[in-house]
Amino acid sequence: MIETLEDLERHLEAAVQLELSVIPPYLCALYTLQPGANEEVSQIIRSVVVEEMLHMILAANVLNAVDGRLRMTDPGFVPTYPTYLPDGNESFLVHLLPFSPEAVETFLKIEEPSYEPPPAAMESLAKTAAAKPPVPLRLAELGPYETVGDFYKAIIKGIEHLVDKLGEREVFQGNPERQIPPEIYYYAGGGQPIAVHDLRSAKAAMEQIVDQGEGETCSMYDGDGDLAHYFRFMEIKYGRRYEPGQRQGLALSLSEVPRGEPFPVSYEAVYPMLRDPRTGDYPAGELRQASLAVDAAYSHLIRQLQSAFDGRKDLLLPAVGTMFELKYKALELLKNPLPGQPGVNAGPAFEYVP
Amino acid sequence: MMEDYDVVIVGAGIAGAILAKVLTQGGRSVLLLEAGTATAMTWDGYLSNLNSFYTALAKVPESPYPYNPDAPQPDVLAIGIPGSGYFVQDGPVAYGSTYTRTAGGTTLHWLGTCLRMLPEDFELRSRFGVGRDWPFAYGDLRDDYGLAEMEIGVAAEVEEQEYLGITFPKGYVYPMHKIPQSWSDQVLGQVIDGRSVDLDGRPRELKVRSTPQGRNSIPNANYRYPKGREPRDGQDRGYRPVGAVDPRPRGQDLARDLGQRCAGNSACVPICPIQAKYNALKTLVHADGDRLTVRTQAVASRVLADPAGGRILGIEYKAYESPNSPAYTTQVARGRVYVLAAHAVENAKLLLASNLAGTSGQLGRNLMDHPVLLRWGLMPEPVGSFRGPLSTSGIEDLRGGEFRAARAAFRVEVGNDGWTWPTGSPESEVLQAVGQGNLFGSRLRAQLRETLSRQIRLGFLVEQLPDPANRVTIDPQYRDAIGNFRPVIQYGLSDYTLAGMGAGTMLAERLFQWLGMADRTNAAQSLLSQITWRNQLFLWGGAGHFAGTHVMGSTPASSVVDSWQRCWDHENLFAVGCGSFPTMGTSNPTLTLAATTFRTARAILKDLEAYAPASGSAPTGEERRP
Amino acid sequence: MADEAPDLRTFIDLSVVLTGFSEVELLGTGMAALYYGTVRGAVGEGVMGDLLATFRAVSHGGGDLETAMRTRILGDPRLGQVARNLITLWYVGNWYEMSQLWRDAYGISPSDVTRVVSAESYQQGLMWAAGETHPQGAHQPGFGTWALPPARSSS
Repeated sequence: MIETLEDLERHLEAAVQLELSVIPPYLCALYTLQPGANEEVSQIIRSVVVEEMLHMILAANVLNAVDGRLRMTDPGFVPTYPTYLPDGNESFLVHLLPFSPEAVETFLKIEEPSYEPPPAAMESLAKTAAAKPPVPLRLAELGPYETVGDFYKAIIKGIEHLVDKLGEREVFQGNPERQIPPEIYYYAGGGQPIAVHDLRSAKAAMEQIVDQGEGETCSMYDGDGDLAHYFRFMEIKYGRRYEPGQRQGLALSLSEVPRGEPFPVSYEAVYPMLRDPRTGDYPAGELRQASLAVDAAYSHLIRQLQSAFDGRKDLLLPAVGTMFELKYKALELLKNPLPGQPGVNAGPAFEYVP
Repeated sequence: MMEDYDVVIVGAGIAGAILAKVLTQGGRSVLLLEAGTATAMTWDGYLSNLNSFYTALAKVPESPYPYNPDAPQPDVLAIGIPGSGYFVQDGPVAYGSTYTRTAGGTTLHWLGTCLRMLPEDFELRSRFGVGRDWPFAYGDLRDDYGLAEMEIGVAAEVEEQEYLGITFPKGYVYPMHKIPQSWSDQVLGQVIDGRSVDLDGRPRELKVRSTPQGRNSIPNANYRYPKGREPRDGQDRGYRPVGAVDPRPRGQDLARDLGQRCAGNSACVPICPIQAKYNALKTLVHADGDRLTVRTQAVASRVLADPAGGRILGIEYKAYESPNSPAYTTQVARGRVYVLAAHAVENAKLLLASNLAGTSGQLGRNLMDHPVLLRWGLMPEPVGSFRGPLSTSGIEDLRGGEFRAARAAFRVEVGNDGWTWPTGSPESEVLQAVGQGNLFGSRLRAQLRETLSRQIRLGFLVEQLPDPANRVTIDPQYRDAIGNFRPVIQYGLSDYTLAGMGAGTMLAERLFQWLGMADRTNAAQSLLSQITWRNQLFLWGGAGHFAGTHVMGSTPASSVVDSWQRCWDHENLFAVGCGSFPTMGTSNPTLTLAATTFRTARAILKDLEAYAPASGSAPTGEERRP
Repeated sequence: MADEAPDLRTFIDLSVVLTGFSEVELLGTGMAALYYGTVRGAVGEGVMGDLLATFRAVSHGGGDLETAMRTRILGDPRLGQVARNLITLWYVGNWYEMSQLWRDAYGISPSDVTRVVSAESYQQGLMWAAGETHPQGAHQPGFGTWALPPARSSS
């Protein structure tokens, strides 16, 4: 329950962390796609990633609007992998994986925790479920929430409750200069950032996150008519688009299988990335240096985002440039075979280096 | 069976696309005939164009768009090689530009520069005693410029574009904020901005100015769509960038996710891999699909006129099954109004082949371009060359003035692509460093690192006056694979233009001194055209700015089309595009082309008011086969 | 082929010396195996084998590597042009037909044709990285990055 402004800030900070935590797993799937195949798959995953980035910005805007402070560079904020995502009272492991059926099942589960992956596809999940992540996500300390959607709905309730209790002006004391305005972030897919300064804009920001796919189950579509993330991954799983007719109804079930135009999905045209790469596990030398370079780019990105959320809006665009730099450095790693492990390539560790 | 349309348009480039969109949205049925294929209209097809670019040895503007013998197009590599290519070059100078014949037209490989013409550019004859006057003034086109900037999606700031008499309506903003100027632009600007050169006896201050560009940038929240042009959501405030296009059911997802902002691919010409740069297909997909029929692989071969009154009765076209085969059938398209939007050269060729629009004797004449004088050099320090859109800035301050009575004006395009255009760098640098420099290993790498990021190229786009001797003609002995005429081109550079190149040369020498830039302009390392004037060698190329072939004017005796681009000789025939330009000033012409097309669309809609509102297509007439 | 692996290994080592790029950078292009096949196809197994054998001798021979590379490989009439072509292959992504003099002296292969080796080879050309930029038309750096000062890489 959110009873105080401090509770609210902790929830919003956890929300930013949650959105950040799913980006590296999605990026690993995206970057392991070899050129010349999986064109649609690439577009779909990319469209989800850009919206997750948008969600992170929306959550940060709400946090800044209530005069909270984000501390992305604090120890433990940037997740390490595998990490846990909440699933009611339980949680499930999210690995860094190459594009694979297992990765797709994980993504379906991320977007819809009540989804139960077929056990065969997730054998590694069972095997490693016992292991504890080095640092749990902050969300775990706040719950329990059945779904991510519930978590966001609790935040909306909390904001309303605090506005009732303290008054709107008391709650929204943040400096408007610390808001990311709609024009700046542009890889926003179906939505765009909302500058938050009152209850209405705060609710709009939170609802956009829920709408775009974080556990909303009453409709396949968000307000813009775009397919929710869960259903975009269903399209990949089945290698088919949803038919336009399928896209119109409400109350579609999670098991609704796409029946539209098929598209090719190849799990072979994929760089065979090591599971959960760790920079320290690479042999000292060029390969470890290359992994450190990825970590450095990722860390630079985190610091740029932190500065952007601290009022340096002008750093958000360069942060997109850093994203691309990170991508090309990660691709270099992904094409390097691991010495002594035939058929396995290196991959990005996404470790934060202060 | 023949269909009957309100309007038959020849050519699915930017002019044809704008007309198709405006006319169908205005309730009219349109048949759009396109000579080439529709490859780029689907995303898969566009990716195949991209792949052709990657695997082309010479990455010339047309390299992504495969040669089609049934609708051939000029080729950069053929310029100056007698007997080769689509153009029959009859001299004295080889025309240096090319265009592309495929749906989307040359906007598929245009740079995207969207400068307005200066007010004085419309009045060259009355103000400076040279060239021709336009039949209307800048002020008459100002609102249409606004429509063109909306349609293309132009990124710029009004404050930077108000110079040499250019004005904007009060409160006007461009659809998007300006594209950031490259680091090298900024370095050059630090030296050049505020310095003056003498012009007409007075100092003229220079500025490395942001270029208005048809590529997606940060939308301006204060932008207001013109009335009746709002996007589907009905909101008129804040521009909505248009991304990549794909006509498939999920195509709009692509538009939403791809091409929303320029990402710096640095390949605007020959192909923007994400379609962040405007191309005509973005306009075409927003036409009313229920009223639009697009027929590709349909080459207009003759315009059929009533010999008595001159009214156009139909357009004969050759429909071919495959670009790889010369087999075709001849068909006739019929409508009430006909529009030739096929390109300055193709429009003229088609009218000449039809023996129409000849009263003034000006058809095919007054062919112009912007001959681009190129100068290139090496900056003393790295400036981050080869990054960003191919050009983000220019020096525009010398585009106008009294001097135009005596010599051509020019604008200076500041390149971001190193010496790619003049020398083929960086490939040429590698071949030279390895082949002649005998470098290898870390020294080779260091050498390239040292030099590539210091390369700067300036392009001086020099004005050309309408000269009746510069012309497109046809000759029965020169035909393409399906029997259509190939253009025969007579072309030269006048003293007026060459004097402009001379002034450009002298400015280049000053700029290079100011910048401490080593001049590496070198004929031996370049495939550019060469011309010598007053003992000065100019290295130059075409800008792709074909204009003047069916000149617009205020009397039928002196011009081919009137101020609405209607052929004086044929009341229901319009010839649109840069071919109508009486003069071209120094601005890249596509924006002005788009503005004049909006103007013409209004005239056509008005003409059609005489007819009942279109109710779809009605079958009439007969089909003819050869 | 089982016996290809050691040769590919030597090919990569040779490429590192010729290009000035590290092994991880070269493998990071994903082009090594394709280029090995390209060179071998264009100049034949015999020349390729001799090139790699000479490089093994040079790199294990001690002494100044630069001098040995110049005298025994780059300055060799048979191997030198192949080595230079290997450099331009890595840097540009193109194979350039061997000179007529070389072909007259050492033979002609139908695969010795000037071409862009593949769409990917163009995009992986090292000249772009050497110039601290990205290939024109690929590896987009993101909106507005061109307005920032050029990054000087650490290598």
